[in-house]
Amino acid sequence: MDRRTVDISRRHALRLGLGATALSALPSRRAGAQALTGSGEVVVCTWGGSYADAQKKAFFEPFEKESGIRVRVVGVPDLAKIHAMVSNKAVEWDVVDAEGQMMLRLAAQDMLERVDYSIVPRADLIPELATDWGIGSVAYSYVLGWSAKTYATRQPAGWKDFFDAATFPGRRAMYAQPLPALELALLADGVPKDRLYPLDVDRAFKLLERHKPLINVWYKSITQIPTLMRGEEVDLIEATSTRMIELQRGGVAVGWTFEQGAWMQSFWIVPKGSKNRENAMKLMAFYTRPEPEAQFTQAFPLGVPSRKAYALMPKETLALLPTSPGNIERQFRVDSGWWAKNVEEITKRWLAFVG
Amino acid sequence: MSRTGALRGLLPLLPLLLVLLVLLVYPVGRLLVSGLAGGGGLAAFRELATVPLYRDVLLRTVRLSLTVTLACLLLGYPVAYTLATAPRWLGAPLLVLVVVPFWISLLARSFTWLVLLQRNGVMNQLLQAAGLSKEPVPLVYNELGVYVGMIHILLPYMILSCYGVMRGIDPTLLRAAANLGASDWQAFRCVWIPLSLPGVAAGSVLLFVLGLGFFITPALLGGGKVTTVAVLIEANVREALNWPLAAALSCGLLAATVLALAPAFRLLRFDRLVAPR
Repeated sequence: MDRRTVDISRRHALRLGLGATALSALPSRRAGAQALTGSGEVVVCTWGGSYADAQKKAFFEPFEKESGIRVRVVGVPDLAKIHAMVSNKAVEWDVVDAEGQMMLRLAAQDMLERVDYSIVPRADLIPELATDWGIGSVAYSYVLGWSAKTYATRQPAGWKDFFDAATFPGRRAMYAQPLPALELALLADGVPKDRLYPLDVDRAFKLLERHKPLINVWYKSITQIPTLMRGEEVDLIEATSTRMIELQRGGVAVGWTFEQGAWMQSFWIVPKGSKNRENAMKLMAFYTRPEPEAQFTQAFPLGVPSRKAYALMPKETLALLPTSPGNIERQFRVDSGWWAKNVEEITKRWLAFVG
Repeated sequence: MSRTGALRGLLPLLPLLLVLLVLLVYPVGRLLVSGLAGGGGLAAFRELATVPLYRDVLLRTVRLSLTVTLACLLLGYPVAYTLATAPRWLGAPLLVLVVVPFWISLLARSFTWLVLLQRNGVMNQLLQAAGLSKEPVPLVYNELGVYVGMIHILLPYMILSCYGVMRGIDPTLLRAAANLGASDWQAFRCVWIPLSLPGVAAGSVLLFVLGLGFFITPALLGGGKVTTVAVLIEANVREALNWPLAAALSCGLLAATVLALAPAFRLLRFDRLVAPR
């Protein structure tokens, strides 16, 4: 698994580049896209806040208008809930914006509907993102962020610096989740980013244990990132790229880098026994279109699954996407398959580590 | 009263009991059964008993909850006394002030504390402006922050439960004590305090039990360093999908609650205190 990860990323980037040249002049309404029609409703479970707002504007509302299918948006994706819904045959969600390992763990237990590629067009999708059990929703990245005020002269360049309190004195915050903290610890310990998987869990925990006193805050929710940075509570942080961009746009003196970032892929999945399976597939079909994807990235600079979408984006947006050529090579892709297999064991160790 | 008569007297409880049965006892029972059935249960209990982490977390949870209960009692009792003895025109608006925090969501209040207590937050700015400290004081993302958040959320329950009982104390009893030569302090100590004890007991039990189940406040204000049983249960249900362990932890918490409350019930004669006649 160790090499494949990076291979995929490189190929991924290459294809994006090809897509960009092939599609320079695109009509606003694609000639190829079939109009979607239907009736009834579809229940979409996604993440809240401005993210869901951007999805509504770019995808759900135009889809509703075109198809006549009512979209009901609920929150938030939760593995345990889907598990309970499917095993009790009371499935309330038709399509869910799921983390990669969520999809794999549910698929392993036969709790998902297969993607119906007679409805969902796959030709333009990045091939790795058109899987049996789901199509790519967004790619996001955990990156190294810092206070530009504290580190005005010399900026940290990677996770080694993050844990180096002698060169970079300051307060630090990490996301209170083993994913991707273990990867970041291994990178700091000198493991090359294309040789991370299978993770050397003992080595990762050893480093984290040693540096535990350096971490002043283990934050519970992504929404705490702006509070932590605006309040100057910490100087160095493991944060999502979108939150760092948001802070920068808001005029807060912060810096961040895609270097050694951990990018991962989310997928749209349909829980087994969904009451509106076909409508869910139709919504996924709409999601594969490049125009709404490009529009979405204006509000939320995240990776999108259609190769053609990247050709429609301005340069400034491309520079902010974790999956753009130039950015993707600097990061590593989190191996959701490895996590799906090991997460239960690791969560146990993680709880002992933080508790 | 005959036995059937007494049973008929319980009829008004029926709607609530039904709701509890359907919405609480049944689903919780199912979670416990599905969690503990099938071999996983025993192993989970063994894990609970042998891994020191769980004992430590349980003890920390109990300690946290006890400390908060005590602090709320010390802070809340004088407030309740003031409210109960103040003239009506003053007592009513003061009571509203006590209740107002109930209108704000728990999450919003926790985030507000984060902003107030953080390193360059209002509290630290005040401390530094007053010359009490040169460096920012760590007020949050530690156990102190959790205490502040929990006390703020739980204090009204203590005040209201003491206030309710104190309002029922007959003021003529205090005058009678004064007539018999008791000083103000003696009257307070020998008449007021014993008569207000039911409120203290009810409030303390309520706070202790609520405190044991706290989740959002320790998770946010503790900076990930104050793990409580509820935090562990959540992680096991949602992330590890280890429902047997989550169910075992819930049972452990329930057992600890009962163990802690049983002596309290005996000692305080809770039944009589709540219904003094």
